[in-house]
Amino acid sequence: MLSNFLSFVENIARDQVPMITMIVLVLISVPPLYLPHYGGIAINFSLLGLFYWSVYKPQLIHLFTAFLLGLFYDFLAGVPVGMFALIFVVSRALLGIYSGRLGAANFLSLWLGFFLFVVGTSFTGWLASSLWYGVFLDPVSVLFHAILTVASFPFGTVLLVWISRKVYQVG
Amino acid sequence: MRINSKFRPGSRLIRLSSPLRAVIHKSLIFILISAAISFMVLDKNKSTTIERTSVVIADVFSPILDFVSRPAASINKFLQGLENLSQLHKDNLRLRAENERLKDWKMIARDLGAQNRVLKALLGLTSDLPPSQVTARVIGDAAGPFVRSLIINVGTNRGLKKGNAVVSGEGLIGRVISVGERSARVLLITDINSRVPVLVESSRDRAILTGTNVGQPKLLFLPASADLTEGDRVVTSGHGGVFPVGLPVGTIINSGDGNVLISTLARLGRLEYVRVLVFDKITPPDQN
Repeated sequence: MLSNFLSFVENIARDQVPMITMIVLVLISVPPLYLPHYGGIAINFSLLGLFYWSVYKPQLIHLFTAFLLGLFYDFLAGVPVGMFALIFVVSRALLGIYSGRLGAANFLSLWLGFFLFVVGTSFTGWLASSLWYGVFLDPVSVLFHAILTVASFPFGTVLLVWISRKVYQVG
Repeated sequence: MRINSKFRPGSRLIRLSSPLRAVIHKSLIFILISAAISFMVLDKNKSTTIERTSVVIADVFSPILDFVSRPAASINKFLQGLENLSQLHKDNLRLRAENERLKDWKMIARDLGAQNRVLKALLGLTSDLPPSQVTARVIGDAAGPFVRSLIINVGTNRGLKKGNAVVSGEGLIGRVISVGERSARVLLITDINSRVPVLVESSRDRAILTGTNVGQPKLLFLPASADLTEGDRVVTSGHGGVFPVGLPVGTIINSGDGNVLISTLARLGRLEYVRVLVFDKITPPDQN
């Protein structure tokens, strides 16, 4: 009886791991790194988490969860509220379609997939914020932000693969 | 264990619910996209609910942000220490020369100060009370290319109010746009939404400093006859009553494309501690 209950709790906790890592990634995206000019092109680490979990554990990142996580980032980062909620929902829906193919791909193909994903999210963010402000924002800082985020993929993936292996014995 | 036939795999209920679930799933995407766009519209219209939620979230997570920002702050302090060590000899010589110059300025300032006091007493002028200052630590700043703001670790618990000017050791960095109990958000002068009434110190020409979300803010509404020289200092004018008069902001640089850009005195990328000037907005008598 007790072991059944414990295994039930363990399964529930296991299912929350992608969401918890996403919350942690949002929280580490916001504090300052004190690097000159970094604030304007800062990496959004939560994009890494959204991509990884949407590919390998899509059933654990529900559309509504993606929406709430995007909203959480919006409120904490001070960007127009709803912008990343929109980006996260659309990204999660699209990644859900290609998760099978991406999940079976090798690392370089996966990185290429992430590159396309970041280009898409950065462009959507640039367009949405430009419409919101009523003026076209400087695309150069958005480009550098995208480059930095793509460059962080191998490092972030190492951590997420480690978590996957520990929790789900896959990855 | 006996399973109710209604819930057995392949049962009629599950077969009926599958298309229903698919419809709900498909409409959920549109519902959530519409909700996200509605949030953006509400935020654009400065909804108080959105602002309050943002304040509460920043307040709740400020201890975690404070904790997460500590390692980077320690590394930054260590690297700055190393940087200072390498320049110690050069700095020593520069500071000695500067000290000699400042001794002359000190005598002039004392003389002018005494004259100023006498003249103010003769004219019966009342002087502005200096605003009280609160020191705060920056616990959030990396919002990427879409916004230029900071989160600081003090709020109404230290008397902060919306609109308070925020400065670093070098000059103005922004103003408080929302305040929670133990955190506040500061809009930097480089943000596209920032507007600061300023004047050029030497020519007394007035203008509005506006951010561009990239490196340097620019001056708008300068008079056509404005007499500007590269390197001229720009300070707050105090018009509008939000900022105290005379806070140093930056120096004029030549952009070459007709825009008058400002190089900010404060190093906005490496802010660790800032000072908030707790200053009540001056309202015109007819609005009191």
